[in-house]
Amino acid sequence: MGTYIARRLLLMIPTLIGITFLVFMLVALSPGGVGAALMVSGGGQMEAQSRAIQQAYLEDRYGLNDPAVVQYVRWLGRISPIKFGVRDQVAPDGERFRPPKDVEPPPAWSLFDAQPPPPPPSVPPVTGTQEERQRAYRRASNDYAGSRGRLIEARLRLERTLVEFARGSGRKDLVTRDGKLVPGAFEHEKPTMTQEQWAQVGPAGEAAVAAYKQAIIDRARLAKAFESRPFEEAGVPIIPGVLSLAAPDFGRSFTRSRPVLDLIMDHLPVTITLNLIAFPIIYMIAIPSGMLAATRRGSMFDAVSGTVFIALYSVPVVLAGVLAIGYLASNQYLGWFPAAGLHDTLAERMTFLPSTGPDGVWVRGYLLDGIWHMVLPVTCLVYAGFAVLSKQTRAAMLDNFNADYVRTAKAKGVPARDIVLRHVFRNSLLPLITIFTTIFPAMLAGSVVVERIFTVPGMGSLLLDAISLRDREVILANTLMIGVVNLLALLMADILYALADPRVSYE
Amino acid sequence: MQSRFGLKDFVLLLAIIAVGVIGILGWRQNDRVWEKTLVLTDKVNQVAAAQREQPASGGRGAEAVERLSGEQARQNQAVLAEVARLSSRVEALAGAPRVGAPLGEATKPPSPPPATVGGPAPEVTAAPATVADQHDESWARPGVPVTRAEPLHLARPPQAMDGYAPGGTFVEVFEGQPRTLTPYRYADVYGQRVVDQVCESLGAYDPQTLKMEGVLADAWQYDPDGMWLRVHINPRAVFSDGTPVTAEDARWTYQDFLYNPEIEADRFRGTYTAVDKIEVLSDRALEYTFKEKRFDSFDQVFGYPIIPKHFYSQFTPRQINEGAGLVMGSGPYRLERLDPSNQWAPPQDVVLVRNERFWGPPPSMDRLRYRTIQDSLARLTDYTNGKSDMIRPSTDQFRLKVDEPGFTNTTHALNWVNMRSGYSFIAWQCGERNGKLRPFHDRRVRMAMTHLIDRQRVSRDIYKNLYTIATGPFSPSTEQADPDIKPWPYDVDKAKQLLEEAGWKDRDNDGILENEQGERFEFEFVFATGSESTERLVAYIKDQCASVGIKCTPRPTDWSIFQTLLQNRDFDAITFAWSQSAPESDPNQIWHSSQIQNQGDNFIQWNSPEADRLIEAGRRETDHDKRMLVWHELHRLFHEEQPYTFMLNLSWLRFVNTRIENVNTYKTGIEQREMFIKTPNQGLLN
Repeated sequence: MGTYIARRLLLMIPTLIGITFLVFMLVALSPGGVGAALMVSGGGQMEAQSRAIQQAYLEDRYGLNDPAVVQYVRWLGRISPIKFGVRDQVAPDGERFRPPKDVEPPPAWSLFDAQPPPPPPSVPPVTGTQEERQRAYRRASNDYAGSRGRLIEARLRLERTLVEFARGSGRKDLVTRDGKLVPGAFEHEKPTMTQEQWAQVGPAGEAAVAAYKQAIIDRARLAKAFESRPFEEAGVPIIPGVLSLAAPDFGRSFTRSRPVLDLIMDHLPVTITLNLIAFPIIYMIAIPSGMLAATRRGSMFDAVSGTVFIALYSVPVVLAGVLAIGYLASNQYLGWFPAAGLHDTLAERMTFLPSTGPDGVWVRGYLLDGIWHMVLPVTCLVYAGFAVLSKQTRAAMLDNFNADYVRTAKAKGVPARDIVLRHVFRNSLLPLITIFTTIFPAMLAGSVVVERIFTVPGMGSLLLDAISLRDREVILANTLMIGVVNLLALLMADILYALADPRVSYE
Repeated sequence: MQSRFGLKDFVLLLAIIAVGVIGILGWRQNDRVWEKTLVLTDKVNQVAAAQREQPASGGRGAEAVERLSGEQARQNQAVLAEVARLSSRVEALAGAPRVGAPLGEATKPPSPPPATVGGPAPEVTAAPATVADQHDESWARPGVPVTRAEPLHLARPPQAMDGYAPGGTFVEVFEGQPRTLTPYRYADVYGQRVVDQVCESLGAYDPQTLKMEGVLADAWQYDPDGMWLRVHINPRAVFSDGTPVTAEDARWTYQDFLYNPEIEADRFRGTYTAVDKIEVLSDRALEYTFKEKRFDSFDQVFGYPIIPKHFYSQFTPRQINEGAGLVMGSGPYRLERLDPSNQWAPPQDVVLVRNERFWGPPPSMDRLRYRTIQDSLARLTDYTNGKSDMIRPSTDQFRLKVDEPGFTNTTHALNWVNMRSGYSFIAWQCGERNGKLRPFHDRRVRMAMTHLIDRQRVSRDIYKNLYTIATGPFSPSTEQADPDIKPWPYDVDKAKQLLEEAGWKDRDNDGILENEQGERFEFEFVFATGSESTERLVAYIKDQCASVGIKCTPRPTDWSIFQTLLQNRDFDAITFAWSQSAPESDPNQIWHSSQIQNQGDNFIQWNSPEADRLIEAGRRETDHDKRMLVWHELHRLFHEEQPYTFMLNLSWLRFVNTRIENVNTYKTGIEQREMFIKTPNQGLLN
């Protein structure tokens, strides 16, 4: 058993890599890409302003201009608990610091500077107390961010003029389909330019070269400041400087700039609460009615419960939600329940428990208010779930009713009640275990449709938003989390089989 | 005896669980009570502090403090009694839990700014604000006339209205969740709505005339050559913590916040580009130097919200980037809970409360609450249930509800064009696509397309007659648009004639037009998926094209791909909408031929030397009236050239509950501060 579990656990690693790689590539290769989706997050209308520069910033910040595989490996490196190379540093408040990013020299360098791009200059190391080193690091970081920003802008301007020049002089082979310069263009051949063209390209190029020279100086300073270890290093070293162990870093959401883990922690409790209410309801209704239907096979109850459950199962959640809001929540009809949200606007000022307020009016209190708001979403989560579970229970029970041991028990004179509960039900548990383990991932994933209709800020709406905006870090963290839970649940199911049925063994 | 789980055990287990649950519930109850007390105490301290700063307004304020402290005492007792009642099940009497009594509705006389207010207020050598100060022009450059701002006022002050009552909570519903509220970091209209209430700029557009008027600026000098601007900040202006607004705050906001490379404010850096240098001359005066002479330099300086340096500089750039609710300013409202360690975060409602220290005419309502409901039916249901005061209905909902008998008795149904409303259009590819000229490069073909589309009918059948027909890119509510230009009529015969003039005839009798080279008139029409109205529009246009022998192939496209298509100029015709944010939009970005290269927004590759000339002339012209004449000429040119077929002016639609009074629509939008609640202390929402 132990080796079996260990093997299964180890197999999870390649499976997870496969899952995340697939999702990563789907996001990266989706039309428009990650960056484009960030630009149009405003909805149906766009405001006319310069967006090219913004896009360049985004690409630089998240490394979006690297090949997708490189980006994936980088992501994997962050997520992996085993880290290679220089360790990150962490401030006491959780802020993470990485070694500074590299800078690339601007294109067509040789046109503007006779010397090749200079190597990083050597700068004196940073010394002093920890506080001084931290201050030096912050200063250097700000400087580098500034010079890097200026380099991005200068490079963009240069690229534009070069593209314009290439197009104007019939060298369309140097321009890619999306209007960028082919890498390495103008590096080895010196084009002949008229005075006029040079007046366009020259100053842009010189500005970019100057910006680059400043940027590598600032980068060298920042690298030295980082080397001085202004903050604590993250994790535990195994081979110093080569291998270390550290907590996975799920990164920051592109669209919200917040750590993904924080976002998940904001949304997870809502989803779990809803599901913690919904799943017991499903089980408490579906299993007994399945049992009852099996014992009274062919009776009125069997037919009616089967029909009703299948009918409910066939109603789409979207329709049910809209009908529920339209009829149950609108004051023009019944108006019994609220239309949206998890709490009333006044809930913050309510007491926690129901009470009579100052002027003798009954106030339902925070707790009841929450329950009242959850009625419609929970109903929508629940109603379609009865059919599968009750039918499974019924079928499994019927199988066992025909078994020899039941006939023996009957012949022995065991009361019918005991036969159903102690013998048949226990033996019908196996298929139920299979279903039971699937609820854990479902519990974390949340329901996209229900959460959307009832404005419930749970995992489903988080994921939906993330997908529509191609917020890669959130999507990946979600995928990873649900993947891990799913695989663990499957493993648990297998272990439970062994426990529930002595015939199952993994030795 | 077999040991088994019997009824007695079950009852015992239930009893134990019940005791546990009661314990937890009681503990939560106590917690909430304690929190409420803290909030109240905080409120009283706020008011008291505000009063200490404003001794001049004496009587009323002191009363308010007393009333509030009295209320607090009563509330405290009530709260304690309630706890006692719950634990001992003894009936207890409770006091009125009314928080946030109206305060200072009388206009405050000008009073000197506080020298130091408790907390981290910077050293300020307070210039005594006397009458003399009003005319102190020592900060000004000699020889250039000084413009003085009128004192802050509202067009229709609520205090002057019948039945005015201060107080109450205004509830507005957002369609999407704002992701962050921090100034210069927000990325949606919702963040902007909130920041507009909390932060102020040097100036603001007058809602009626659309002229830039001073808000934080009480006087300024604008270089006749448009190269510099000297501003004097109103000495009465204070942030919501009582610290005066200084020239250093204005400079710091621009240079060290907006242009701090580590703060992710790229989106706004693209908007504010005019300023080259800022020099602080004194506590109250500063000078902006511009990079070049531009018509909108002045508006840029007066338009950026000014935020307090002493508050924001306590955070690292990372904290600002990641923080969702760091909003502080000098506006009429402030965030209810501005606690950096426990900030507002997305799923919560945004709650703004009256800024007791606000230095302008006080707003009428105590609280503004912004909720998010994503589903449009749920939004409308919530509104008709009386749970919210203002929503943005869809065109269908608007028409449906307004036609419902009795609905307008309970709702102000508003539909108006303003400077922000924007317009929808069909853009024609005037240049090459994949190295080939498209039919629309010919002015006559574009004109024929415009004549082919019955915009009146589109407005009636698809948009329920809620929108008017657009004639150009400038909002008809602004002076930039020429009111004399009338839309081209729907005229199929004219369209056919124009197409024939341009050489498009059915030469082989297959029902499709061909030109002289025998190429068929086919084009690809790109539109965004997800909107039913757009799909109906596209279907209509396809039919219209077919009726004259043009083959139109609709190409539904996801929004995120639009950007790539536009950049690559990879479309024949495309439809979406532009929005505006100022009374004068800069046509350079979309229409100047220089924006054809460089992936600019002239994605239709419309190259008109005449337009270039007008745009350049307009951008350089600093005289308002002369510039308007140039824009009118440009508008006429758009009308004659039809680079876009301008479809509809997308006016704003709003439902506002009639319990809100003094609801006025303006060319700038809607004026929150003018509204008041008829019976603020009644009803569900208070």
